[in-house]
This record gives sequence, structure tokens and C-alpha cells, in this order.
Amino acid sequence: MSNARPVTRSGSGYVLHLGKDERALVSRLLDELRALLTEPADPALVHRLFPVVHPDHPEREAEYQRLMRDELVTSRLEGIASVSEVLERGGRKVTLDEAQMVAFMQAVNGVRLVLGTLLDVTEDDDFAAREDLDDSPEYQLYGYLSWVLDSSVRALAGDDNLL
Amino acid sequence: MVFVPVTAAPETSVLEEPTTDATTFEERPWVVIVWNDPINLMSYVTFVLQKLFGYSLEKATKLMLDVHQKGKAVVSSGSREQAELHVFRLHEHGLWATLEHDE
Repeated sequence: MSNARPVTRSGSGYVLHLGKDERALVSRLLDELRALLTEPADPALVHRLFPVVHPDHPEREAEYQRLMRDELVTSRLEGIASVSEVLERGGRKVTLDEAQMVAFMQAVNGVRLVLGTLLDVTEDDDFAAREDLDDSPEYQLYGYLSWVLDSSVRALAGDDNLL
Repeated sequence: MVFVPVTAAPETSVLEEPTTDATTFEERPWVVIVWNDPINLMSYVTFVLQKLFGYSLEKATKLMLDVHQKGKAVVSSGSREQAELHVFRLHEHGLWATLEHDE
């Protein structure tokens, strides 16, 4: 984490300033996310990946999920695949086009949704407030991914387009 | 009917239109709601709303703050098909979105 910004814009593309270990870490997390999407998983852990659309109408909900759930899984898997490919290319400087950058942002947030659910994070959480989690590797990871995600958003939005 | 097309039928047929003030079930818009959640970053939510709906930074920020402070916000509305597409795109980005339709 030596770089002040893990993601920057470069011309029409984007650059990930992640060390080899960090890239390996993100790749491993993406593998885990892929497994959660393709293999039977604890519904309590993945419920943020598959939100309910019609909370008050079980019939509409069943119909929606029948039509769209697979499509959502496919979309997520395609995004993960494109990011994994970029990360595996290796080299010291990883460059992404805009579609890959968006896929990276979505995939990192997908991992955060699972980790945040696992940790049961709440709105008021900050690193000082959750001493119970301070030593938890998952919480460290969650904070790291939040930092990477925020930088991704800033790179995509442009500095003039964020408060 | 508020709208009478230029090529309207003769006057006599206008009287055949039912004059209830309630729109029909199909005409009433489906509403896309984004709910507050403790995981998604404020910067991320603002950016996703801009990206998906073409909202200005000001509008997207206001909606994000409504979500954050009031617990939810209506981010778009339209036909069922449009609304379902919007909710799907929001889910692709990991936002907590649901649909509502008055009955």
C-alpha cells in the first residue's frame, strides 16, 4: 500500500498500482466470490448479492427471480472473469480499459458485500469504534477493499465530479 | 384524458371515454427504491446513480443523501419493464434496490 492512490486514470484508461501480493490477494478473493456465486452458499452470507426485489409480493418475487437471478449471476461472473484475466496478465503496471475498470469496481464491491455481511458492519462503524474487530483479518481486508473501491470510483468519476 | 391527439376522433367518441381520475393499474408507474445499507460507500452510490441514470452530480448526491439520512429514496419510475431493468442494473452494482407499485 505504498501508493497514495491505488487506482488512477491514465489517458483513456486506468492503472492499478497494486503490488504483486495485493494482486494475488484480490485474485484469491475473486475466486472466493466466484465460488459463492456458482456453488451452494449460506443464504445469510450471500443475501446482499441477490437482493429481494418485491419484498411484499412473494409471487412477483418468485417470477422476477426465475427470470433474472441467472442473468445476475452471469453478469457477475463475466465481470469477475474479465478482472481475473487482467490481474493474471501480471507485470508491474496493470492497465485497464473503462469496461474492465467498471468490472473491477463491481467485483471489489461484491467482495465487500460478502465481507460486510460476514462482519455484520453497521453504519456507525469506524476503525476506532469496533475494537472487537480490530484484530480481525476480515475487517482489515474490508477496510483495504473500501480504500481500493473509493479510489476506483474517484478514478472513474474524475476528481471534478465527486464531492 | 388530458391529452387529445391532433387526429382525434369526432367529438361524439370523446364521451365514451371513462372519466375516472384514477389511472389504470398498468398506467401507474413502477417505482425503483434504493435503501440505506451500511456497506456501500457514499461516493460509490453517488457515482452509480450518475452512471446508470445520467443524473447530475447534484441530483445523484441529493438522492444518495436521502438514502443515507431518510433510509430510502425513489431513484426512478416508469413501466414495469423499465423499472425491472433499472433494479437489475442497480443489483449488478450491489445496491439494495426494490420495486413498488401502488394498487
